[in-house]
Amino acid sequence: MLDKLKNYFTQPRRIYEFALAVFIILFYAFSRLWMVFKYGDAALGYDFGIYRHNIGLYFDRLGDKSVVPFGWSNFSNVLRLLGDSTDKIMVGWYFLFSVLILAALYCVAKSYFNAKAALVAVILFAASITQFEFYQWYFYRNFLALFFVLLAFLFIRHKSYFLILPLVFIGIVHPPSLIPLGLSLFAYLFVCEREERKFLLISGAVSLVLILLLNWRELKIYLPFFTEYFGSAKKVAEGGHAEFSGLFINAKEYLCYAVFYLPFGIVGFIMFFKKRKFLTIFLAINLILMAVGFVLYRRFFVFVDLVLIIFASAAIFTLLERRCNYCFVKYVFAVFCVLLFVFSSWHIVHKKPLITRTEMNAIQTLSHISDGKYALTVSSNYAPWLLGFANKKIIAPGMFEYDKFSREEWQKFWFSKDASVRYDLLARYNSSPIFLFLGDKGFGFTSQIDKDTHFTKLSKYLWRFDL
Amino acid sequence: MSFLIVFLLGLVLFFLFERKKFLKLDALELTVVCVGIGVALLTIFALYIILWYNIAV
Repeated sequence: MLDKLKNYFTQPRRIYEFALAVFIILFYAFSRLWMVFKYGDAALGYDFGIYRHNIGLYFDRLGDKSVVPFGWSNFSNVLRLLGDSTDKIMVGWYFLFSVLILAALYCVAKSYFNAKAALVAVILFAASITQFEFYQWYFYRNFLALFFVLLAFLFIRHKSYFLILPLVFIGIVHPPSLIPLGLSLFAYLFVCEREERKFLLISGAVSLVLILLLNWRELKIYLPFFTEYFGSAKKVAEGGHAEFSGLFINAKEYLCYAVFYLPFGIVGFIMFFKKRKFLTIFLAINLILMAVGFVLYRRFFVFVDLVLIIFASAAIFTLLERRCNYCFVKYVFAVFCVLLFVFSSWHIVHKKPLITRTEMNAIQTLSHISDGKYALTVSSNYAPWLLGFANKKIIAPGMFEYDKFSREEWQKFWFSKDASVRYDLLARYNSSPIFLFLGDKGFGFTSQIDKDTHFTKLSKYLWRFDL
Repeated sequence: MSFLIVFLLGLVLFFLFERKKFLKLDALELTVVCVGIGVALLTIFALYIILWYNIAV
């Protein structure tokens, strides 16, 4: 064993590859953990508090028929039953899956191309700002789906009936993520070989039946988006669900983030689109869904980025392999990598969380205040964090179950010069005191209440309302 | 600990049903595949139990 290791490291090329792999892993860990160390609980994105709240809610009410079906809760419930804490699921498992995604990408690129192309793919993925943003926004369900999409790629390549498991998992945990993959598999049936077609038909049909049988209650929630709005994100947004655009980066931002490897991605696509039909179809389906503005279309940038990274790695590898005797090409590639990592590092280091650490501390102090059942925020920006960390019933504009005000009433609450309007609205909760969290994005609401004797300032961001 | 349980469950299942492919995969591929299988299977099973409980009780 030791001799084998000795032999391995005596080859200069091996040492170079090993050093590169270590560097990539360290950079990847830095990119995913930097903000967590710098900003603590405030680091991760908008949905962080919602997931935190849901882990507790769905575990405490295990088997309760009245809770809204939420497939992801089965994943968190299993981990809770195996002894993991909420924080371990929120941060530990999330980070673990980010590492598994990197490993899965290596395996996929290796099986579709070769080990060297896979190494290039891992370099590009670790430095991809789109993937960093996706991690940072904390779309946990979508993030899990990304890993299982890669796993599905692997099983398709190996023609393993275990393909059923990732398909059903995505169908349970995040059904919208299954749409591009499902459509791609369907389209691929028409171009694949006969033997592969049989395997895909059986796997696809079994998965579909299992998803419908097991997850019909959650699928029913998504059904109106297709029957009433025909899957159009624009129409769903007009119907009052703006979040169904996907709330992620737009095309312009994507082009800026992918500027270094996008040309290689296009070259790789031109070179290999016939040989790697499934990747080509998956890319085309995602682009079509984004072009028509399908529900959650912005999140599909992640899948597009993933496939382009695989194609780009194949193009770069081919270029290096064909021109390997020319030192010039190697130096150009080295400069390209340095630029890529510098660009990515600059973005990561300058990235600011959606909420500051002091705002987060103020929210967390609410959980230590025992009197008062409700906490109110005038800005929906802070609502998810309040839900996850304040340990109170949250009143937020247009969000969650305790919002009893209409849009017009919120307008009155925010801007009315008559203080009694606010008292009447808050009296609906028949509870006193009510705590108010007014962060930096409170659009000047403080000026409305600072001379009001019913409101007492507790700290920079916290106020107490007594009827 | 939970990771180990998930991984071992995936490992056993993959070994039982795909013995030929199991021997072909390298350590990294095996880790990715086994964790994926373990997590997916436990989640699907959890949903099945909840569904059964909601219908039966």
